[in-house]
Amino acid sequence: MFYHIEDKALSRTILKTRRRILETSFGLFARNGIFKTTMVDIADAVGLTRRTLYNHYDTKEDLAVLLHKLLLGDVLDNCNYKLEPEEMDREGIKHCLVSLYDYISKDQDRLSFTVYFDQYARERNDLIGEENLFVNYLLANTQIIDYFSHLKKRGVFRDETVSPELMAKICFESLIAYMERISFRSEAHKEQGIVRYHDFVLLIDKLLRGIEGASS
Amino acid sequence: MMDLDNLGYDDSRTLNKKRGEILTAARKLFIEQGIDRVSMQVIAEAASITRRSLYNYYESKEKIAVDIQILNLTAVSFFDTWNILGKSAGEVRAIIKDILENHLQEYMFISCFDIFFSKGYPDRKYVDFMEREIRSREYGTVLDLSDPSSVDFAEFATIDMLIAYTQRLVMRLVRESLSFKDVEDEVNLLCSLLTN
Repeated sequence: MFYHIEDKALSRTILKTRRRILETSFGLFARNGIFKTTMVDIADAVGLTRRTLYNHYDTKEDLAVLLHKLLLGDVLDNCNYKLEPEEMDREGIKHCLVSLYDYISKDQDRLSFTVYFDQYARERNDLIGEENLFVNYLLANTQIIDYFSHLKKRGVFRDETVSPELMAKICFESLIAYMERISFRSEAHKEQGIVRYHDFVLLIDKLLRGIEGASS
Repeated sequence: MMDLDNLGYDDSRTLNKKRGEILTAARKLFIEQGIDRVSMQVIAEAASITRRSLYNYYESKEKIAVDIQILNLTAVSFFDTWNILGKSAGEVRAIIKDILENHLQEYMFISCFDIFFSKGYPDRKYVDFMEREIRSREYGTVLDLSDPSSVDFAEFATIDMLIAYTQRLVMRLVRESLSFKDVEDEVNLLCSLLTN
């Protein structure tokens, strides 16, 4: 994902340094959270002086937002989210949601970064903007709203009075909430050993069935 | 006044009172700023004691956070509340509504706690507490946690998701000043989707 920055105007050395900065800061953000990580930490970890780091990126917010954009771009590239019309059914949407989850949770750093960024963005929304929240990004870039509109047109939507937009938002909010919870669990609850990991697919299925199920 | 019996300290009444004040002050700070941004110095100031005497009660803010969490989970009857296996959508909706109307602060803290300790807990105290609580409950349906193969994980995942979702709603209510009306629509829908 760090190879997305391709700017012909920049020299190779600069690109190489930037990639190193991005890679390192991504790891730091994912492990320590965005609040706790400072530009000094990043400079130290990359092996640059603070001044050099500031030549590349002005603030850690800039860095975090850029990394988030790269990650989400990567997520969408890796999920078959662009469904053909004939694939617009429950299975198709399910695949899209599962692959999204798979991609993010396969790598602990990705999952942690997503969770930390979301929290950070919520607290600093003056800086980062609502459109960068994970849920809003997914709503804008996946076809789940289209799918729900399509169900509504066919008359098999759970509740005629609810807009497809709201329904889609609820789906993503709850799935993301669950993902956050799993990410907290994976470390903290290892020692507890009480709660086993559950199948995310199962929940997606339950949600989608519920949405479609009412009148069928 | 907080009831500190659950925490297992052998304090005199004066010490107990002071400990309660420390926890009250710390909880407020943790919720407002997140656990990672609050220092022992700041907690001491808020509880109007010196840093040195704060260290007589607690050696770290992590231990303070654990005590607050234990009190919180007890105060909101966390384990009873979420004993929802087999309950109807209406009942679950009532539970979530009650949390949003009456226990916002407690749930805010639970979220802060989860975030801060996502990489593990400082000592066994909290883990032991959780194990004790979970084992001492009677569950509505056949659910023997000492025998994982008997547990219906589909139902369990649903509860987990509802808890996670509720916590997220609490965060959004506090941080984004959403209205209760907006939230209520969401809660109604999700409960009817996920429960019977």
